[in-house]
Amino acid sequence: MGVGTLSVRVVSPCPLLGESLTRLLGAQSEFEAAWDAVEDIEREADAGSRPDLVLVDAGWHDSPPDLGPRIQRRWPGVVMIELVRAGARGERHRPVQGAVATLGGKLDANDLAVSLRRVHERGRLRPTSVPRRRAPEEDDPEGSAVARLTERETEVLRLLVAGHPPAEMARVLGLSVNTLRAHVQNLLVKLQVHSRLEAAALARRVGLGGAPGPPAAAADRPAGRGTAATRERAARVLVADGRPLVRTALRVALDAEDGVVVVAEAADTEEAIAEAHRVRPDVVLLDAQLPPGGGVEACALIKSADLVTRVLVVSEHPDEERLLAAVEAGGDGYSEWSGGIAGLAADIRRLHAGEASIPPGMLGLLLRRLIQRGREADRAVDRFSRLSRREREILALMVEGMDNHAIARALVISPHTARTHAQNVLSKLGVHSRVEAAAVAAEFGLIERFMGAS
Amino acid sequence: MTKVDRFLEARPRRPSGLHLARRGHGFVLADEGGDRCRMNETAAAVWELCDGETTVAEMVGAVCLACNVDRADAVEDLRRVVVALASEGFVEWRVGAAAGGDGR
Repeated sequence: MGVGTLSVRVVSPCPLLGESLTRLLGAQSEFEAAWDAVEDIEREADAGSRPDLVLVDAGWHDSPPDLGPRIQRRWPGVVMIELVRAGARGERHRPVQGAVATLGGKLDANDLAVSLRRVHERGRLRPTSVPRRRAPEEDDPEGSAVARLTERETEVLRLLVAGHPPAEMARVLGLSVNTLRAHVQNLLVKLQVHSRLEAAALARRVGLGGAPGPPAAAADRPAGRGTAATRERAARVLVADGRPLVRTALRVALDAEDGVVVVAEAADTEEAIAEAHRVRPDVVLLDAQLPPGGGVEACALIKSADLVTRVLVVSEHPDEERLLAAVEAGGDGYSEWSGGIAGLAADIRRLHAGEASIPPGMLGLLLRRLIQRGREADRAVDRFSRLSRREREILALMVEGMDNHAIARALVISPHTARTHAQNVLSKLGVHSRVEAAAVAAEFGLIERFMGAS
Repeated sequence: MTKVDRFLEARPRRPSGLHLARRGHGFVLADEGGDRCRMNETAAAVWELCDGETTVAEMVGAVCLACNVDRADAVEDLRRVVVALASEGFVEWRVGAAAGGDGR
């Protein structure tokens, strides 16, 4: 270990996160990092390796409850930090017993580095042999604050300095005004200023000014590895994940893989669509829990947009329903975190080569489910075809949530007639309620499919 | 009805006595006498779909969606796999209704 470097052991049962975080930390000269799967803790400890810090992934659904004590037994007195992967829906946090600090999933790479250093300096029980270095923010607080901005936030700041109005900034960056506003709010918080004017003044003081580079600049960023020729053939990837740290970790880790280069990042669906239009990636990598509606919903929106791109939905946990939904949403592949970085990169390359990507062992199940869904759709279409033209109109209005009186007014018929038609619709569709009828019609797209041709 | 149409309407069926087992990264078809045939995941998935009820056309539709391939390519891939399985006696042909049909 070099002088001043911290040895960090990342403990995570998830290969993709463990490897990504390890590569992210390892890319910074002040850290030496290694990843341990949970079952590796004892084996590594027996080999005599003792880290300065242990960063424990506390967001995994099947993390053992005794994880903290096991780590402490093997490395007594080690400073242990839990990383909570917040930001994704439905995740629960199981506290790691003995952890001296909790880091949230919303933090970015710079936050992580600063936090690890601080916890190491303040939380260590015995004096460290590593001389304390002044943190960059102590020497140049404003410069450090600007350095913590994401690429996109820096672009926004440059446009602020140039005095562009919000609508113009949104147009130049290919963002919606709402997304732009979110970026502005983020950078104000990070710069610890209260107005755009103050932010622009601060930017000028640290020498950040002028117009941003061309919108495609990020797309032209070279890959981290490989020759110019291999970079040219590399799959250009947009990483969409709601967690800044995970995004950055994936970028660092994937850029080190052959045939893959990350050209843009997005924090939510809206930004993913905007970025996909801007950089035209070969592959869009969508976290299954991408805010606000999830990766499958984002997949459907991207596939319905005017884009020629392949979409890979990535899930932390095996999920057959989500796999089926992703395929039905037009997704070209589905990948699991358990495959690690190499597995994810292989899936991306596979998509880039025009192939599909289904997790091993899931193809048979997927085919059976698709066939089953196809039969259900055929039955629904068959039943729908028995409806008269008037009954189809009634169903369309039921889908819109109208009751008999509203339907009667819309079609200029009596409420009694509307009720009779509605009952016929339910009977012919073989359902028991209007809600069920509307659900069947919506699920199989019956209205869109037939009303134009009826 | 063309040859392709007849193929698409066929409902291939697994004969009794065979079962599928995982071996490493692949699969094998086995019976009481032991392993009979090694196969990849795609062939194994297709063999499992051969239940005498599912038509080849349904398999083609599912493969198109799951593997993102053109229908013509899916038909050709399915034809190759199913014909190979049938030639070894690992599937039997059934045409028409699920429970009936004249076999060929």
